[in-house]
Amino acid sequence: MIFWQIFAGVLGGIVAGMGMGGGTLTIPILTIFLHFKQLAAQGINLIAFLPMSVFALFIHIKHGLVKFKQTWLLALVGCVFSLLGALLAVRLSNAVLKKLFAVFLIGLAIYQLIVMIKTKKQSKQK
Amino acid sequence: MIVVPVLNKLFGMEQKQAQATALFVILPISLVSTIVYMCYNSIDFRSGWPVIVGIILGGVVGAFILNKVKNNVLKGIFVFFMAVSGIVLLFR
Repeated sequence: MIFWQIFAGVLGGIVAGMGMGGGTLTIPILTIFLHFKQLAAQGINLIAFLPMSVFALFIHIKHGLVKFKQTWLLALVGCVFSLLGALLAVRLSNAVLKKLFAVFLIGLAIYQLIVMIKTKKQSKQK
Repeated sequence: MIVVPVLNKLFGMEQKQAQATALFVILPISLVSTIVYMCYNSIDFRSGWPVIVGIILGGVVGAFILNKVKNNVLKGIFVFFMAVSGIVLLFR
């Protein structure tokens, strides 16, 4: 049992360490396959993300992939909005927020897919 | 999922750098979120520690993988996860 929990964490951690969303894979695996409750999975993912991202960031920095100068302000602004968002979240309907975010994600994914296909076509014609 | 495309399009970073830098941007934001979360909910360390250990290990592996994979492949994987996340959220 513990093995599967560690394994689930490793899978989720790989996706998170690559910068593809903290709980993108972790939370579905925990809730669907390991039967964690949604809130419990979110809490574990949240707390695990902190040390994980420190280690992963260290490796990214070593590879020269992190652009601090351009983004420290973004990080700061993000913190402010995160706090505001947390205070707002208790007042807004979670269901509505989820659907809106879902539509946004799918829309953006489709847009990016189209751009990818277009650039592939163009490079093939050259 | 939002930071990476923003870094990509508005800040002009390549996919690899955008994904790596996103971790830097999201770390303090996550810290804020975690503190707020802990004010309203408790985090179950006793049943959660194996997962936490796994995530830390996986994160290191993922960081090495990010460096090895080409930008356009990364973009494809990222878009895939974005679409799947959206669909999963839509039906929850």
